[in-house]
Amino acid sequence: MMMSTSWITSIADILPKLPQIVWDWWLTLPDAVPAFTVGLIVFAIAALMGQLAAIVMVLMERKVLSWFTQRKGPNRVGPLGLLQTIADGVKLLFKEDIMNDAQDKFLFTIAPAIFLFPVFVMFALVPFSTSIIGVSLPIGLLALFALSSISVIGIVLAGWASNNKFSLLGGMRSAAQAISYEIPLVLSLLGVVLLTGTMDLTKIIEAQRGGLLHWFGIFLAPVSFLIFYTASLAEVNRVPFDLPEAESELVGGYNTEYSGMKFATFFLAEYAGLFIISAISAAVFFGGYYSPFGGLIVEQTGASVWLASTLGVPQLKELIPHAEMLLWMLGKTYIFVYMAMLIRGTLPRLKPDELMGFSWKFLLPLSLINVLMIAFVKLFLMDWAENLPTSWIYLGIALLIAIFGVGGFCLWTSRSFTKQLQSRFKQQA
Amino acid sequence: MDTLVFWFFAVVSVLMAIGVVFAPSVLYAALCLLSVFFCMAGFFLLNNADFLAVAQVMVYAVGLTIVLMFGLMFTGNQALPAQDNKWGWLVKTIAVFSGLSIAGVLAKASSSFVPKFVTPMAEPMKQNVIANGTATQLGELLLTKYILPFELVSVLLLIAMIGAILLSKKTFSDQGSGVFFSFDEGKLVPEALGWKKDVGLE
Repeated sequence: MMMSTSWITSIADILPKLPQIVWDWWLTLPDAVPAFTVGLIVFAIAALMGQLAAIVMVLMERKVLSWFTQRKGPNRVGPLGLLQTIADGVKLLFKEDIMNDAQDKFLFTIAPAIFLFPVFVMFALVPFSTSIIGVSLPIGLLALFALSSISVIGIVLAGWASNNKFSLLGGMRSAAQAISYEIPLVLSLLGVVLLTGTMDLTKIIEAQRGGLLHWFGIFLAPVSFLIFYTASLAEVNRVPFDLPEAESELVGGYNTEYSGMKFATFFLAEYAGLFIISAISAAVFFGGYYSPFGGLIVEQTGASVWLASTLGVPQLKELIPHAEMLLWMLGKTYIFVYMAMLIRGTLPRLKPDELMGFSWKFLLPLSLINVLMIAFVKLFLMDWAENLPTSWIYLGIALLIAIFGVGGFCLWTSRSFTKQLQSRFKQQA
Repeated sequence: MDTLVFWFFAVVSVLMAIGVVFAPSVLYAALCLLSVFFCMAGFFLLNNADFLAVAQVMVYAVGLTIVLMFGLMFTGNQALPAQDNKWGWLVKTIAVFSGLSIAGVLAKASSSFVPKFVTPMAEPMKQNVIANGTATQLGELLLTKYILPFELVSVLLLIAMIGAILLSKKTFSDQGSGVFFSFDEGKLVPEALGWKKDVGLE
């Protein structure tokens, strides 16, 4: 009896001190261990966020598409059908994982993982507020695209390991497509990097703090934005660029042979990828976590200070701005997600030759001209325009005229040149 | 910790490099090569060269995709055939000797310096690199001190690109072999282009 009470009291003594003890022990560890642990935690949170975003987006896609085609969409599971995706996930989890003997077991298993993990790492690089960001890299933008190019390997491997001609065709199409569209994608972002002089996403967002007129997607680099959005839709295999999984010609494309959770992994990664490109569009071209009116509304109106003082919780002064940033960022991101869904509901799929031609003959020259013009404006017009009251607008209009003028001229000359050639050879024949 | 990570990358990269040679199929060889490149990116990161590491991943991830595609197109779904011909022993002997001589040269060269796994960097410089990255300094160096090699490399790439376009370009007419030019007795002849002699592109 005595024993047990003393045991309990000693525990009661230690328990309040436990956090302190753990903290002290934590500090005695060599530097690398906490760094490694924090890295793991950041990655875990990023992966969780990716899955959550994908779950929301799958439902959103089905709902939006059903509104488009005048259906009701999923409305049975849970209130308003909100739990439909979770039910689907559970169903996929319990489905049989089918593999046949002719498949390469190792590659077949590892391919969905190679497709998925870069997307989740990308979540750690996207800033949702000045402090809600996994890692803020000085070369964040480049790192994002380095990671996105890894997932293509997953698709190619999946296509090959399936030992199925449709899968292989899907994988090959995906590789060709990703390589072609990567170039205009990176070139379009080069314009913004030129204007801001940094590849750090937080700094790019900071450069657009001034509000609507300072957003790169509105006046300064709208052409960049259009190129970026188009090319990145192709990069994540969305309609109208979803040739790798064109179900009318390739059954299911690279994931024809996949079932159960492996299929779900592909599905998840695709939606997470769509979220990432929408988030990058929002961050790089549309002010990221700042409001369209410049800065943050709660800071401009003093609402956060007022709330903190009325409620008597001083921490709120710090917390509310971050909440607003998160709101803006998520809101803008979902606008672009919605846009991708509108495009899916509207446009038919391209043919392979049209797809390649569009990238190499149209987007690539346009993005080159775009970079050239932005460099020109940055070198010669930036200083002049600094003195004007709404300098960004003038600069933007100058840029637009320049890009469409030069671009149109180049495209027109190249087309007329091609036509001349063609007619000449026709005459010969 | 740096040393630990270094050893991890070192062992993995050597194992994978061996794997490239002994892999059962082209696809596995390409994958091993990819792992080697990623380990190289890891070495760059250990030396605080963040831009180089990311560029390595970016360039070689895409490059490896192309290698995979070629591997698939040329070999299909089969293991590499065993090399077994009359002069195999000669080829093997030459390969072993040249490999040994390269190893010897490398061993001789590396015996002259003290091995340091991670080059130590001056503390203020290290802090600057961690905060701002190396991209800015790299860009400045490339466009000032090393502008000539940089431009030469870009010209080389341009030549390669034009060459690739020429090689893959089809002729407009249905004469010829479908290749834009071909060599006839060492000379480039316009007929081979599928064009008539009197009609040229002015």
